[in-house]
Amino acid sequence: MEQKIMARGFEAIGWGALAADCQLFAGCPTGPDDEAFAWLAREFPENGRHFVRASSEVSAINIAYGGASAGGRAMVVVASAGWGLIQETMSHLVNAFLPVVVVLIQRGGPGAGSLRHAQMDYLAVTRDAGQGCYRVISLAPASVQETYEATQLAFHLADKWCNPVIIATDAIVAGMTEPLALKTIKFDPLPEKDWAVKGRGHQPDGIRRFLSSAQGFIPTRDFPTYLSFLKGLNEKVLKMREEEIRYESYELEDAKIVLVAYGYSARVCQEALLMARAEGIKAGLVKLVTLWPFPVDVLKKKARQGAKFLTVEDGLGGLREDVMLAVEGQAEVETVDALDRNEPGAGGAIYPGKVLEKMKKWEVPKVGSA
Amino acid sequence: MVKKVVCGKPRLWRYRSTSLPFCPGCQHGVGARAVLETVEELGIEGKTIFLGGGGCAYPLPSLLDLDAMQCPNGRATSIGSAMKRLHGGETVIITYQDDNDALAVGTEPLIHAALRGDAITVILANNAGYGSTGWQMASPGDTPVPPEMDKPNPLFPINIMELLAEFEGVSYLARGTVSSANDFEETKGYIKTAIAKQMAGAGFNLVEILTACPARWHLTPQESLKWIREEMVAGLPLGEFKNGGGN
Repeated sequence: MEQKIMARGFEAIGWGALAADCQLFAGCPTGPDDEAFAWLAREFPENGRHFVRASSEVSAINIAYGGASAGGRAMVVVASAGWGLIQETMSHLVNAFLPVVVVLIQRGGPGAGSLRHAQMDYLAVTRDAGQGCYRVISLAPASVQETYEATQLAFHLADKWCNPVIIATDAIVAGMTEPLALKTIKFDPLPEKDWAVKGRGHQPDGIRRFLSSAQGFIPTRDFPTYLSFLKGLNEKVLKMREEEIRYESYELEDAKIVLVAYGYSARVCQEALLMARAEGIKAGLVKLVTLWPFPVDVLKKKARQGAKFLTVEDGLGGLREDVMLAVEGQAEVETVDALDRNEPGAGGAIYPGKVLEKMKKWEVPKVGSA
Repeated sequence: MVKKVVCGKPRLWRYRSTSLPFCPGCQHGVGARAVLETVEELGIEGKTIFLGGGGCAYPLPSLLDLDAMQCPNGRATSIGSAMKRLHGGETVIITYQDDNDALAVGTEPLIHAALRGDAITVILANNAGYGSTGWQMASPGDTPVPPEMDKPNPLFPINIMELLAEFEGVSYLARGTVSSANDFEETKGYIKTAIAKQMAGAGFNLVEILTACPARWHLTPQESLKWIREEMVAGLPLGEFKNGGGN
């Protein structure tokens, strides 16, 4: 029977990891990820999983690397302050074709920034933040339920593509308490992890397994040369881009202004959308579920129909860059960003009224006015 | 007593070609051989995972008939800690790291694996330098040293034995060389004890092997061995430094 509880976003990450049969968590607490850490420290050992209190985020991601190499499901949770630290190993995981789930709880930046919520790592999670050319699927939940489901999906996608997957949430979504229906998602079956390192005697064929994060440099079974490795990696990125785009659209059909947002800002936009429609403004919303890959086609289509775009993001314009790329100069793109917060302190946030105010400034035709 | 002389290479060098990918006189091949012979003699090939790292020894894991990984530089101890947890005590985890890998880039994960008492065996091949990029000393030396400097750095400040000996989670610490047949056998004995401790679940252990790097040291192979015996050992004495139960 489906169990319903009240839970915080922090806890939903853990519930999702348990449902996905994650065997190993490693982390080093940094605000605002510490509450997820506390839940995992208590619940993972109680549920027969491994919890490792790592000495740093660098060690945490490498412990997860070891868990993934062994064929297990492994996860780290980092705050923005730890995000930079894990990038070397993110890049190595990509090279070695290893699946690890990385939960990023965004806080203000740059540097130590603030300990409070923000959405400042958009470009970092949608580009190759570590060395080399690569991409990583980034999921952006906007509720406690979505966080729970995104965590399960992340493990599935990581195993499917043998690649790290990011859950890019923020401290508002992670900190909020909402109803949560605990239901394990059934995904399509995946192949056995034939590549996992476990000791030659445990391999069904008795042949040694060799994993390297220096593929292209050290010849491996799959990639004997540098270019064969780059080709294989590139093909994987292109396929992920083609197959894994996820978004939700609201009132898009007749929309003249399209809001584009994710995470807590998407929740703000849902409210702003209701307010705008009540005032006769033809607004719509594209709520991103994956930040990468990005839903280019739906935005391009609306741009060709003459729509304008308003990105809403508690950062400084990262998302706007992707929308501008998508519309290829065929539409105006404005933004509501961190500078539109309701107060100067780190506790401020973007409110629906500010989004509505920006829409009104554009003087768009009212519903029913031709 | 009749001594039987056997010439050959460990069966576990299965994927190596006729020569090893190391400079003339480099002792990474000999150090690794000490590990491989020990694994063969213990009959644990089927349950051993060999984790290599960065630096000159990076090709090692790819040459072996063992489940193996070439890990990011300095991170093998973190990776091994996780593998030990997931695979359980039966599996033998051996990392092979040079001094830059284990004592510079990887100091933090090494020390914390030891603090946690993770039952893995670290083979630290210390050649007092960072040969893979041509001329730098490893970071425990003063600074990058100009290429004109033609002597190995005698002031190697991290004595990892003293550093780790007091950690409760550490079960065994020893330092040897592979500079002569006798030294080689003695070092193999240390490795055998370390692996046995790991298999008994006795906690973290480490065997340091002082190895020659003639190309970087600007010495001949013979002079390099002499330098190890006369200079390096003076600062980094040989023997067992801890032989306990660990946790």
